[in-house]
Amino acid sequence: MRALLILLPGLAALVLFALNAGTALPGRWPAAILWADPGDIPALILHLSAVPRLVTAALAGAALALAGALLQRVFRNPIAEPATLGITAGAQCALTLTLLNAPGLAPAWLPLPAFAGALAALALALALAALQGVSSLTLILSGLVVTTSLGGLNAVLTLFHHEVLQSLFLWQAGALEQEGWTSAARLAPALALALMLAPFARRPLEVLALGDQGARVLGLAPGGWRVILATAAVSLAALVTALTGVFAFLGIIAPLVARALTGRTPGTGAIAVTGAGILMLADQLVQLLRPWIPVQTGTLLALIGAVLMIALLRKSSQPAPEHLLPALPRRARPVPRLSLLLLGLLALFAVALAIGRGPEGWDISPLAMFDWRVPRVAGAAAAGAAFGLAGCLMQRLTGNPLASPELLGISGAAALGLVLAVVMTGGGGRGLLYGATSLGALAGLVLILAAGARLRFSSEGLLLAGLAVSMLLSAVLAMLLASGHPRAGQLMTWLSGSTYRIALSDAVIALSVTAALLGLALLLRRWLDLLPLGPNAARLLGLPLTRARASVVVLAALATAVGTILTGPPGFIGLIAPAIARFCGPPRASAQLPLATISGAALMVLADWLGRNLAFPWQIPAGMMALLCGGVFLMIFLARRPA
Amino acid sequence: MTPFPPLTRRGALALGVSALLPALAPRGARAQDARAPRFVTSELILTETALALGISPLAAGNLPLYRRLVGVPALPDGLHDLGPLNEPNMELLVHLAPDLIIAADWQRGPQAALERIAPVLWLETMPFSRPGLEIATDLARKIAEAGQISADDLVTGFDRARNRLSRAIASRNPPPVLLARFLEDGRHALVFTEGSLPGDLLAGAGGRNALPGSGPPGALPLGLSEILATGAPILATGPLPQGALFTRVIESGALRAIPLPPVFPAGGLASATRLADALTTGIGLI
Repeated sequence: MRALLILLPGLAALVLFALNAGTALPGRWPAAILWADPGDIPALILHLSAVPRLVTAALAGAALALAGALLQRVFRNPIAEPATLGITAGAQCALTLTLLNAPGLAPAWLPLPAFAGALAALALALALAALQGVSSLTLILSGLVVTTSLGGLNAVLTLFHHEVLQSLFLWQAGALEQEGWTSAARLAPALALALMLAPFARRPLEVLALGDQGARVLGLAPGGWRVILATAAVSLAALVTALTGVFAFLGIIAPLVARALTGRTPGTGAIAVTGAGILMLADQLVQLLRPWIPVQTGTLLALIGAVLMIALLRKSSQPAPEHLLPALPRRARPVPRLSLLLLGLLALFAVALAIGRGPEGWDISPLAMFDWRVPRVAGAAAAGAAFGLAGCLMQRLTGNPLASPELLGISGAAALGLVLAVVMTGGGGRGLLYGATSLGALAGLVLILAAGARLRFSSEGLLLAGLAVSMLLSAVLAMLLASGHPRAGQLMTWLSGSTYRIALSDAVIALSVTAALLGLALLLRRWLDLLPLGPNAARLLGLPLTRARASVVVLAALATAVGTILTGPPGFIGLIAPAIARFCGPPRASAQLPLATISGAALMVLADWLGRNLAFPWQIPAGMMALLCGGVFLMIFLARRPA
Repeated sequence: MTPFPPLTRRGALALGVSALLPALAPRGARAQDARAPRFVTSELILTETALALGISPLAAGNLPLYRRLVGVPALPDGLHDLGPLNEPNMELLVHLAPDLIIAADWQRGPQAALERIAPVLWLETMPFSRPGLEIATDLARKIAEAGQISADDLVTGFDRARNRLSRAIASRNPPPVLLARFLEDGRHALVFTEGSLPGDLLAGAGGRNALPGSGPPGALPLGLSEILATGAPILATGPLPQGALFTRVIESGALRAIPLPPVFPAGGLASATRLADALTTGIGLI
């Protein structure tokens, strides 16, 4: 009997629908569902917009929940999500490019490029994972790299052209407005096919649940099946995303709600029904609240989902930490290369200051440009150094080479702090912005670590927690953009990570703060040497664990905040700079910290210089350039890693 | 026999030199009319106003966006692109060394860095503290003054267009209308209220807007069902959506929707003039 409780969200949605329809068309609405007089506008709206909207929400909800449920079993992780494999970012990029280059395209065709983009992103993620040997960690990592890099590309496009991308913003916020049965008619057959095929996936899923070893023993190739099942699930989700919009987290919420309602592990059918109900309910709620709160369905869902996702991390049990990415080979007899790196940094400074493009091509210029370039180069160096330091600290703290401000969402949380401060106070001075950004970074880091500690800092758990924070940030931004908030454009400039507005004084302050943080970190070098050994070993060696962790967390958060204020997204520098440090120097913290700091500075100076010159006179913000280059670097790096 | 003479060394040299000529020409031309100030415009509305006044900047901000959103007056050849509106390229400006930079006050930033390159004429462009039409008129006057020409033609041209709109509204007394620009997805539109250029034009000419004012920027993204639910006739700058719901409502004759030529809704006096004429046409068709 209790199994029927999964119908609850759907029934609640139908009650709200009756309420909404009754307000618009008192007494006449039941008839208008089936037929509407051509001259009767309110009846036509109900017949051709409200009803298709309800049905589309149900179909999309069922499909996304189904895809999510499938992926969670494939990855053996309760917070895997279709968006994990890069489809949202892929669809977004394709849609942006289409809107920019083919503005006259008929609306009916718009989902096509979005779907193609989603599948292309999926293919890229799968190819990357395949090159390393498919496991759930490599799939999630590849998906994340693809998502972040494409996200960076999309941010550049959006920043330069946000005046003509209103359609994209509404799609991104998950607006379910309908203008007939087109979307529903396209979704229905896909969902039907998926439901018909779902039973065939049962046996491989049961075997995969035993783990890779177990699956192999039973004669199943786990990698191959993972790819097949993930591709099927994500294709379905990609279709929904292309046709309707971005509904993050539904795949996570639906199984959770189904379990809470029925009190036992739900089957795929039950999850699909629950997902349909949840999306319908969220959508009817949004319509009910519309006169007072102009929020779109996807945003509401993402806000609820992010909270649930972070809360849910508590409950999952994860394997012990996997050290899968320290993969740049470590020198047998490490030579301190600090001086070499410093020399490289100086050479980069010289190039970045002296060489640039003008209207007549490249020129090696003159002191004339020094005034303009010094603050930018100094600012980029400060930000890169801060991110390198933050990444190194976080990797020492967690003993996980994937820990970095961007992959764990710390920079996302910092940016969220900035966004909220600007929206609530309507601007504000520098002090407020620094404060809000630091607070955001700190809150994010504490949250992630609190969740991560329960997962024993496993890579997957940390990465997915980071993904939750990043998705929350994009949901809030999507809401601001879709509502045409007057501060949205200004915020995007801030978050784009440009060095354009950095004053020399800002850069000098940031450099001094970063140097001070490095100095403090070096004082903690013994703790930092012991922390990666894991809590037990560290405690045995006499480490005051809580105090050590708290100090390192605060240092890392401050460093992330310094970098985020200056150039926004860290663009993988927090991940790559420590990797370079590991390659170049001995594993002691006293060597790694300065090496990571200097490498970070060099990388960001390079990114800034490339960004200023590649598309001259257009300037790609340093943070985004770093993200694009870093993404490509990581892809090559992942691809080359032997299985 | 080929129609082309064989290429000799001398011919090649001549060709090479002639290829260089276009690059040299502007410098010569520049020297001749030395009295006209060499200026740049860093925002769309400023570029539009300058071109509508008949003076051309050396460089302007975000040329692709201008072509897409404003379009008319067309950009002359050989204009340099200053890049994104929020970050006009400083180094390019240093190279171009203009006599004057015409910039929007929102581009000033805490350091007003543009002032280190050339004198800057900071102009208000966003309709936050006063109505957009007042700002557009002001912009025309100030840019004309900077270019040592008269803005009278542009201003009187707009006044005439506005009077035509007022007369059309007075004579036909149309019901409240919705001013909209439908989006590419076919399911939403930006609807203009008072506080936007289209909304202010309509209100100033005595017309009634079906959507109550919301203040600047005066453009709300609304769903198709919300738009149709107002039951008001629609004047749309740009094409109409083709979906089932919209088509059925329009075909039933219960509601009029009139497509007008696309006009930049945040433009200057030239855009406002075209918009007023478009609205006059639209009012006549309701």
